[in-house]
Amino acid sequence: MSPAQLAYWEGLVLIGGIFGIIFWKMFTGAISLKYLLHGDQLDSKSPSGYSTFVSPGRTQLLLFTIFVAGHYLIQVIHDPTVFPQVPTSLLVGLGGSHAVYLGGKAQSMLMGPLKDFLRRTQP
Amino acid sequence: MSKTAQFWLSLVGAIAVAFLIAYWGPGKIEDRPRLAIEYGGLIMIFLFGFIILVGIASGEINISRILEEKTPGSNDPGAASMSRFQLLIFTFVIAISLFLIVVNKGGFPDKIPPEILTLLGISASTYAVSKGIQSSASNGTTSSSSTTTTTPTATSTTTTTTKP
Repeated sequence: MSPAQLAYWEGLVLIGGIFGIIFWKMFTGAISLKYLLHGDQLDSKSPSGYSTFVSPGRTQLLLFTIFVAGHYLIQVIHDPTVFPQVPTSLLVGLGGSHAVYLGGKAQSMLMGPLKDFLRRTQP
Repeated sequence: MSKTAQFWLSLVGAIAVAFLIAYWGPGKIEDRPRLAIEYGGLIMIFLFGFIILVGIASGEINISRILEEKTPGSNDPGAASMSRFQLLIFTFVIAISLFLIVVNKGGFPDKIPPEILTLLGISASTYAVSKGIQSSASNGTTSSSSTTTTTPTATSTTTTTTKP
């Protein structure tokens, strides 16, 4: 076995192994995905000061992430000799999706629901 | 024998075996020192990675909370974090891509396109900003103030939580 072949098998075992273990643990629940689509928001009625809600920002980010990652992986599998070109429009879309997620998170965690925030700020 | 001793023994043994294979294997005699170093390095790197892999698989290295973030104002284990999850997905995709390209091309790619770096940059920045928001919210929750009011008839203690 040449050094190149040995490196290939080592890479396969290590990269495949680490991601295989992570995905297996996710599948069996050892790594919890509970409340992945739930966000926290300021809530004066809750004893801890925060409550959870189903977050549209997280949902759209998950869908966008799966779409971009899948698109990229399919391109690499079609031509595995070069890094595929990522269209600028896709990058802008991904950036926008992340901005929406972060904006929503900042708003809900630092200001609370918009109606509560407006009520607090009105004289 | 302690685990550390076992580790060093297996490491030295593996490298010795690699040198023996390289020296007794086929090929020109002048290439053998280079081959021995290549085999030795490959085996050493593999052993380091494999030890970590076994540790993760057996639970000795605990990664069960790798995707969790703590909810501010709560002592419960946190819910899964979307920013961590998307960073994991993109890291996985780029790592697999790089591995496939290196294997099929027979070498490291000449140039990493800036779009790939931007992709990873967006993903990692989101994680960092998300941590910042989480931290700001936690600080706001913990910086609560207590005020004590005394009336002539009774003493009452009121705890007021200052929201960020």
